Amino acid sequence: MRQVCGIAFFLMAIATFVPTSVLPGSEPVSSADILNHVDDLFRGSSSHATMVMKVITAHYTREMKLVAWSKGKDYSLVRILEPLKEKGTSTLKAGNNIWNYLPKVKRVIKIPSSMMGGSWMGSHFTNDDLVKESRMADDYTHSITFEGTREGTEVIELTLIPKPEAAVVWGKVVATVRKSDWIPIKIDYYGEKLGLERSMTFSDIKTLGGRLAPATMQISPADKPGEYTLVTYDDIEFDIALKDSLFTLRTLQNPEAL
Amino acid sequence: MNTMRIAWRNLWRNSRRTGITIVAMSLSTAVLIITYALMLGMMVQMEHSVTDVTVGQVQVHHRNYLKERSLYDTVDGWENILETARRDGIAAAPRAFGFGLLSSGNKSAGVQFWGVDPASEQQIGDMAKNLLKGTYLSGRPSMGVVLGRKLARTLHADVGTELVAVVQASDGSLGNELFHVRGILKSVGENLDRSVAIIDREDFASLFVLPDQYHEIALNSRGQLSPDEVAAKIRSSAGSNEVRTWRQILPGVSDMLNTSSGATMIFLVIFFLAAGLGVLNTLLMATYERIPEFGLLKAIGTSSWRILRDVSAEALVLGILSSILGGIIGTIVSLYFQYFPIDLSAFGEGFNTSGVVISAQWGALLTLRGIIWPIVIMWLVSVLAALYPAAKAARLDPVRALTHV
Amino acid sequence: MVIIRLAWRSLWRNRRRTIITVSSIALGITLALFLISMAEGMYKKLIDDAVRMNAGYVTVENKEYARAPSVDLVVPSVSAIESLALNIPAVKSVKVLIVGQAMISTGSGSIGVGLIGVDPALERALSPIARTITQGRYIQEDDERGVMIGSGIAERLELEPGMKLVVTCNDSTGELVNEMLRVTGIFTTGMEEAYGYLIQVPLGVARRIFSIGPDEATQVGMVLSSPDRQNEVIALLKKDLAGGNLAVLPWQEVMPDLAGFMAVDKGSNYVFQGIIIFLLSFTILNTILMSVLERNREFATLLALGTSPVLLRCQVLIETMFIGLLGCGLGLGIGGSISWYFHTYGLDLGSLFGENLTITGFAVDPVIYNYIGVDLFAWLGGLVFLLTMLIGLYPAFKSTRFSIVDVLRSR
Repeated sequence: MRQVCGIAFFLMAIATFVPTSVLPGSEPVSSADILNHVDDLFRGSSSHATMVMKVITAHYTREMKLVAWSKGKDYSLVRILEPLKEKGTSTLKAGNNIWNYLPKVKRVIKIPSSMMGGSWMGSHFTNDDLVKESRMADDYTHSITFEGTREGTEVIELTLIPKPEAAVVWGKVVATVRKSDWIPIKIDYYGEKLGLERSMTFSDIKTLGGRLAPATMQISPADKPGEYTLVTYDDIEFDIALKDSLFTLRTLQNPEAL
Repeated sequence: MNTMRIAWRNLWRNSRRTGITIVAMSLSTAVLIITYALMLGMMVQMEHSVTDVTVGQVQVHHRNYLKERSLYDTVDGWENILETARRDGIAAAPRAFGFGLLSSGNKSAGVQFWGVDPASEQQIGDMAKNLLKGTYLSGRPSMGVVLGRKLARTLHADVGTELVAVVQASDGSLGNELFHVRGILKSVGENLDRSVAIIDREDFASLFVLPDQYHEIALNSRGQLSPDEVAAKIRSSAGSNEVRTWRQILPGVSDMLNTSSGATMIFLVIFFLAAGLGVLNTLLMATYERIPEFGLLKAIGTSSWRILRDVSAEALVLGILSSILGGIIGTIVSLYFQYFPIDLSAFGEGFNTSGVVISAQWGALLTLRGIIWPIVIMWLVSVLAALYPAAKAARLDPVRALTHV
Repeated sequence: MVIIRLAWRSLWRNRRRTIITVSSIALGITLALFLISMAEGMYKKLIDDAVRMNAGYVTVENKEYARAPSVDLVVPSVSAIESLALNIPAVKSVKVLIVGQAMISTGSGSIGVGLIGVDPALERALSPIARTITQGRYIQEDDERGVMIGSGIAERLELEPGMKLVVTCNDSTGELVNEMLRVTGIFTTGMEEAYGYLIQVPLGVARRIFSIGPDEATQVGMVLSSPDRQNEVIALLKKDLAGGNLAVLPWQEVMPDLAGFMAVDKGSNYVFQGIIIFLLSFTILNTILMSVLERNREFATLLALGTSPVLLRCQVLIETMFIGLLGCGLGLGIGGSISWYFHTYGLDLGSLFGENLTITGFAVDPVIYNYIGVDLFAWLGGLVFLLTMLIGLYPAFKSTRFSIVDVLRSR
């Protein structure tokens, strides 16, 4: 029930801004360029970020402090710092596989395919979201469907339709970005029958690690009003030197090593 | 009464014929009683094999639980329900359910955890005795787990294997604990074999952060009351929770049992037919032999009505004698099979499906109805069988009757 | 011989008694025949349906597969095994199966399913899934992304034919893979374990998803035209496949639940048949004995006139034989015709048992086709005839054990 497109959470953690040859305003705008920008906003050679994740559901409210490292698009490691009860719980992603480390029992478990639909750490993200590699521009056909002012801001709206063979569950994705700097404001995900399934909203745009990016991101399921997961960046560093050995099971089991 | 005394004497005048007839009728009666008892035993046993393993006769759930199996839809006021059950002498087992992962080395599987109270479970059913290996959970929470057979295989787990349990707890955190395998169940049906992991309810509470809450209460009167009676008793204290009999919960199995009962009924009817015809045949022959006799009686002035009455009386006496004899034999043999069931294991081990374990032992069940019905049928048949030829004789011309073959 | 004619005539002198006795035997046989053929018919159908829907009467799979099924335990050189099997005359067709676990997701959620890859052309004729399609159509071999889903799954994930779902699973190398498939059709076989849990795809799709080679599969099953030759087929296959890490299994091992049910059911049937035969024997004894005893006077006269007792006893025996032959013949004739009728037109028990008949999770077609076979007739007829003769011995013996004088003098 809580699947969200992969770009979402992990892109935040893996962020980097790759300057493209197309800067907003300098040449005619194509939807592909915008999408690539959005994708690249959260991608790069490596990153290290700290953030706070707050989850509100009908049954509980959680707040976690997390630290995350990423290298390229294949490797990432996330660790819970707070609350104390869960400190040290970590998730390692390598390629298409995910492992969790559980400090209480000191064991590593690999997430089997049957659990991929399960929620990650109780949030509205799923394990599956963490490995989804869909680049918006590759898996979807896209076009600009609106340019103008909405709620006082100049925006460009893009509509993405999944390509016939793409392994994505959505029927349609609508992304709205700021016209001035192509920073995303909102991404809506629709099911195959084109009912809204969930929305991702971005806010709190500030300079982080030398880039202009939204520091806060919220995911809300459409069928559960009042529920959402909110991720707020405290700090990010980009393009730092990270050893490959950071993203191994051995490091996963060894929280102190970092 | 005079008629009866005459009937009695008539019968014993040809003791051989009467003897054979009585033996035939008693045996048929006895066989019918035994067959009925066996069939009833089979049907009752089938029902018990559903209710007495783990399903129970009646189950109580939160009204939304069965739709989505949400961890949060627990039974309100379960203490009341348990109290009511206890008062009425019905065994009750509270259970908590949650989904999660069990992992051992690089093998893992999605499982359904059952948080149970081992003592109550053993009162309510025989699942604890259905172990392939190891033991059931002890009374104290000790991080032990009992696995379904196929689950154990998938995890390559044996008694003593250490397993990591990872679940999403009720507060959203990642519940995780280490468990050790205490026992592995025998096959009880595809779903359970593949996905069930039984743990102590207190271990469940700490794993899922769900103390003192249950998703299901299973109730079993162990044969004292019918499922509907149990449901009626419990409903009063169930509040907004839903009370269902096992037939409503497992319609597929209920259908299957109905099928078996249906088939059994057919067999029974056929048997009654066969037995009835046997008796009919015997009596017809006996009576036909006597037509010359009736002819003689008519010739000396006995009215047709009188002949009929005498024959009926004889049939009645025969009937009474054979029912007593047949009843005794039938009862003794049925009771024997009730306490020493027929062992069909030469044919097969028994089988399992959907939580139902059907054994290869076949016990009979003797009931008052099971004795009375066969007897009544025998009487009916004997009267009919005796009357027909007698009526025929009564209508015949005495001369013809006398020379009747 | 004279004695034969005498026996025959004496039978018909008391026509009624003879008819009653003969019809008792006939009735008993008819009942027994009908019941047995009905039960046999039901078993055969049950097994046939079950094996067709699963892995055949005889299954070839990896040795380790039964212990812990997984997609990396494959059967190699499937086509070679196929041609090998088809050369055996008792084998009607060969099914190739790929079975695995997966998770499927849509925008509304995700659930764990069992995924089965089949040859649609073959499966269309065999599988209940193809017969119970409620929406859409059955898959075809060239459906690159086609999938059949159970109605339970369709309901939970809000799917209709044409809509897409994403399959996520671990393939044969352990890698996590995703594939998009579109619903071709929705089925509802009547067993919850199927329509709530199973999805079916063409073999090519399964191979692609699980990264299995073009000539590999998890199971190869043989459907037999003559199921009684099962052991023969197993022996032949074992011989040719010796030395590999393949196991050749009978369906009883692959589906022990079903085998168990049938065994217990058969056992109870034997008990019932035993009871019927017992009742029958008793009736026979009863009537023949009575007929003999009633003729005391007649026999006494004959003996007084000098007939040898042995001859008389023989006559009684021959009478019994005639009765047996007539009874058996009649019984087999009537019982056989009834069974033949239901063999051809089927006995519809649907009205008695309700439409959703399932046994150990296999949906049973409530129409039963009685089994007719020479072996059944011969066995039943022979048994009853033999029984009759044995029973007839006692009355024959008793027929001359009396004092001639006493009998002649009394009435």
